[in-house]
Amino acid sequence: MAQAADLAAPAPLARARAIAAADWLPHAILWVGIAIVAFPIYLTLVASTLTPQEIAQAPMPLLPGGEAWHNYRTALLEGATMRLSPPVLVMMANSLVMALGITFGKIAVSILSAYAVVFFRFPLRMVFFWMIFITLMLPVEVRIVPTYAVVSGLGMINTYSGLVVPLIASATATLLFRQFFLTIPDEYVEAAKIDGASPMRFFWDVVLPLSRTNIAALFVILFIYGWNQYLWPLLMATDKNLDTIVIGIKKMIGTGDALTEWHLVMATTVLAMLPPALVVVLMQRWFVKGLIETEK
Amino acid sequence: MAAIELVGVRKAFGTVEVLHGVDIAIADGEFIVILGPSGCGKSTLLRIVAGLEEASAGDVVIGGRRVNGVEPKDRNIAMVFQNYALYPHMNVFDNMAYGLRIRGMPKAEIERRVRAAAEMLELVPFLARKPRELSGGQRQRVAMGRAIVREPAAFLFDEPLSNLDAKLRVQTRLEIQKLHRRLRTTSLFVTHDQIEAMTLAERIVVMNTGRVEQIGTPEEVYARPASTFVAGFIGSPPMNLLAATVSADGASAQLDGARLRLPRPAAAFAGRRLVLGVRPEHLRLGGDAFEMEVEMVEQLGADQLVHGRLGAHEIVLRTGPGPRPAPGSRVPVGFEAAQLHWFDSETTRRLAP
Repeated sequence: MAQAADLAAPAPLARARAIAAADWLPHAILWVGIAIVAFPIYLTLVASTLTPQEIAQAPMPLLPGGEAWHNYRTALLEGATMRLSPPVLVMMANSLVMALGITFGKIAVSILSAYAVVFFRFPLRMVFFWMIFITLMLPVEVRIVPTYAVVSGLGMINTYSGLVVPLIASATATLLFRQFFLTIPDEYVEAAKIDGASPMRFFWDVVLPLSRTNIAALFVILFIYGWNQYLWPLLMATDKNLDTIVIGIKKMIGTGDALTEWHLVMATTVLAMLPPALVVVLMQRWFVKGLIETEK
Repeated sequence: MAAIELVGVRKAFGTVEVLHGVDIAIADGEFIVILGPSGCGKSTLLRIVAGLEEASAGDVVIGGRRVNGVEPKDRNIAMVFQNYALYPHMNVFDNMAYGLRIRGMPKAEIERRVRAAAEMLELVPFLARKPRELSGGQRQRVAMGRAIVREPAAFLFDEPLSNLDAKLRVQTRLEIQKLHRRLRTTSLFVTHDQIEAMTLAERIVVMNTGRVEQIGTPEEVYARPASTFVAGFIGSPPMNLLAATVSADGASAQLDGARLRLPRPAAAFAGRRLVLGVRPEHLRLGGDAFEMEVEMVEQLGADQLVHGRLGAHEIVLRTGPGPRPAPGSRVPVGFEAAQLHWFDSETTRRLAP
């Protein structure tokens, strides 16, 4: 007994030390991870406040300079004039139109198709469902040539609708809404039938309000998806006044001997990151709710 | 308000028929309870009346109008669901008003009806609340309010009390009764709980495996069960049912491993195989019908239940407070001739009296 007590005495201390180490290690890993992710963003921020000469120095200064106002103003209003790119404000507007168009289009189309697939019994219902499902395997990159042919055939090259419409169909969002709709009890449908609500009335009055958090979560995901589109706008918007900001950044960077106005590129990059970040920050609460909670 | 008539209603899901021809005539203003075990088709029957399911054959007539193929909203009925089906994002007022708004009723009239229903159901303080901020009993009342404001020809209740706890269930049962006495709206109430059925119903429809076993007042169903199923389903503990062969002189019945002396000779059944039924509360300690081997006694306060054996049969006897029979002992048991039920052993239907 005495022996056992002796052995047991140092145990709590050792355990405390083990706990401290166990706490400390994950934190250290997280800090390293954050540093790896954050450092390039910090560098971008710093570079966007420097003069071109300061950026060209090796090594580049790691503390912000005094050119922030000038750099951002030039980028927003004039663009990288040496490379003939339009002002960033124009490009941001283009991106915004495209991102919002894709987001609202996707949500509208997918919520309606999910509503049809879940709440109605029509011939070939499952065939349609599987057709939607299979498009998961056909992202833009795979179907880009036929899509381009169709869009150009419809005369939609170099138009906003050409930017938005081909990206609107979304199997992912349809499936997400379908899963949510399947959790809506049949009794709501039946109560609405007895109340005399038509299918569209039920959709507006019951299904849509219940889908609020899902819509918010999808809004965040789809807005970022739309904002970050690269390949499709690159191919289809040859008019530089239709350049989106993601395309614009790439075009601002010179190749070979051409000069790159790095201070403006960096300012544009920071500006390009702002709207998605803003959407995430503002809708975070809804976003998390939409992913974890079904309101019932 | 209206009478409801079901004529030869059948329902098949695919090749499986779940209702085999149901005929029920419900008078205007009557409170009917459809009682049966789960899977007997009672909910399906209610949904056919509501128009949520279409009958495979037969007619549903509401207020003299044949409503086969008529949309639920045009049948002038209101339904209270088991889980209430309150729209979670609407407050109590909107939940009750929704159906009226869709019908394009004037705002003032909606306001008046919802207020009236809310007062009747004591829901006035909760009108602005969402369903999730209400207790189970309050939600149940909102569900009833939603039905009442419609002022329909008939109320359909689909096991509306089964999500409530025991105490609330008793209370709500009384409220439904009061409500019905006040509104006199034809009501069809589905349940598997015989106490709900006995207390609420003006007439009970006992269903089993897609067929109506018996339609009658609670007293009739209890006193003169039409089949062994009804006899075993109504009453708690259920009726003792004993397969027996009546002796040639009709004075006794041969059971499985025991003999029972009949209180009054039954010459009409002499030599026949049938099923004898006698309720636990109609058996008494003392008498000369048979001797029961006591296995267990349950004390209920006002009563005690004596469980025992008679040959291969299990017997339950209900008796008032008094000396408790010792388990393992043999006690004499008797009953009145009038309390004995006779059923055909083939068809299970009632034979006499």
